[in-house]
Amino acid sequence: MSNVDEMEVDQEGSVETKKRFQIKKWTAVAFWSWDIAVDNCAICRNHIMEPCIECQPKAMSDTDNECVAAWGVCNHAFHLHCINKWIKTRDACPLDNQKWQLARCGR
Amino acid sequence: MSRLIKEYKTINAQDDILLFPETADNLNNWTAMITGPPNTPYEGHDFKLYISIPDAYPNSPPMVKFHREAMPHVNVNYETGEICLDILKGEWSPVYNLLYTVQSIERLLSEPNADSPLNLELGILMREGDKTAYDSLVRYYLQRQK
Repeated sequence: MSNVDEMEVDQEGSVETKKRFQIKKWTAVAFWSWDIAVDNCAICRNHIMEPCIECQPKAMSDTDNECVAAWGVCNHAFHLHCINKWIKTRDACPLDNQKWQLARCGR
Repeated sequence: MSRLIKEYKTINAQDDILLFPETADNLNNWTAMITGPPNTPYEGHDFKLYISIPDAYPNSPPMVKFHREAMPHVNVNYETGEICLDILKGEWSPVYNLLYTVQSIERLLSEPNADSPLNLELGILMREGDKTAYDSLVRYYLQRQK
């Protein structure tokens, strides 16, 4: 704060206010991450927001593929493809072993 | 199936456990070596595990066996090497992987479970609570193999 005061005192003396420095260019950098508790699908180990391991090879060609994430009422998330295959074996959440109930799916 | 490739890569990065596919181009059959835990009759012995991966993996558990007539343990069939462990059967979850499975089997050596005996001889001793006799019989089996 005291520096600012000094600056003003200096400037008062001169007729033309001289800029001490000038911004010529600046580059902004932003970081982001998914706002969800689970990053990877615990079944296929691919990221939940990316296609599942089965859809991954063909994801490059298909612009809109329907490989989406699915949340259970327990709030655990998997790929819809992955969890649908698993519940045929046992109708339980792979992470907490409670009965699997789909809450929502999408992205 | 391709999840195995991911597992293969992460296992490679670790040095403390011996778990490897029998050939690098076929990830359907794996071998693991586990060390007998300290303060058990298995201390000082190494045991080989044979792992075969079903097509439905990881929705179905891997099939794991000891070498036949190599593992005297209440939850292992001595003649066939078959293992009775909940996660290899009904308690399997696709969240588990091969490394976790092998570690669970290693833990089974320190914590035999009297409720599901596959070795009746050892099962009887364990149910009678005769730990000394149980450990001695295990040691006898292991020595006989040498």
